[in-house]
Amino acid sequence: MRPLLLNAVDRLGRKIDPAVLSIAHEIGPRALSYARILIGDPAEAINYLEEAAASVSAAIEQKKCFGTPEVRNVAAYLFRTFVRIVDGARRKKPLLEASSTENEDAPLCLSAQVRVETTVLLNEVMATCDRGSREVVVLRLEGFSWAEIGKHLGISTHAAEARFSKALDHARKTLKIPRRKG
Amino acid sequence: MPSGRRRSKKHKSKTEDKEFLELGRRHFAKDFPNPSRLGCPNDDLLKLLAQEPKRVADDIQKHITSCSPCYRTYSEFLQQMKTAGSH
Repeated sequence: MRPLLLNAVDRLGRKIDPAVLSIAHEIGPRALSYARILIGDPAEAINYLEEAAASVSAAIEQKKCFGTPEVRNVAAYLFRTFVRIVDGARRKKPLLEASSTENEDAPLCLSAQVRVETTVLLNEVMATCDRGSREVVVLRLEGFSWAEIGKHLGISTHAAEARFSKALDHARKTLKIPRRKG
Repeated sequence: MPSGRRRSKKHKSKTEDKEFLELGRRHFAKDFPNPSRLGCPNDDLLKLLAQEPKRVADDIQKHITSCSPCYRTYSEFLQQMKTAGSH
């Protein structure tokens, strides 16, 4: 895997704080794998990550100046900013493309969107939720029943199910992703 | 036929749940290649994580969701444990 190289300045010329840049390198592989599915172009994704890092640097600086409470989890804050930027870019792209081409692959787009939402939700859960919730989610992905998860982690069946729902609902709320209707 | 519609909705929802879980599993198993195996714990720790998660440090549990090779190894241990019915 090639190491991720980010600039200390984004494409708009805004500076990135060294601490934020270091965190951007940490979350980079996960963030870029998400963006790759959504927008395809890795170079564009790196630009968006730098843009997000510059915005977060500016926000942290502003909070210091105004004496407002500092950002507790910079990695999660950066990831959410990145998601918002990429999502904004994704929304603009089809509008531009629709003017020049027929929308012939709509079903593919929908499935790609579901895939992206799923990965973003799960990445958010893994980045922000407590260990118990992360364990429940992983075991569920691996095909364990609620009863099996409960037994394995020493919690009730109901608690296992509740932790899973709560973790995903929290991530949906944070990322403003609506629940899909069945 | 309300009950039929209800059943159909429930069936669709279950199918979507399955798709969600499958997409999620594939995401962690494939999207974080880590070919140089940076920061990977040894297999014994991954086995212990599958069998007795409370005995393993938090960073190992976090690592498996950002390293696909480790996730796949962990997944194999989980499936072995599930098959053996020892959990």
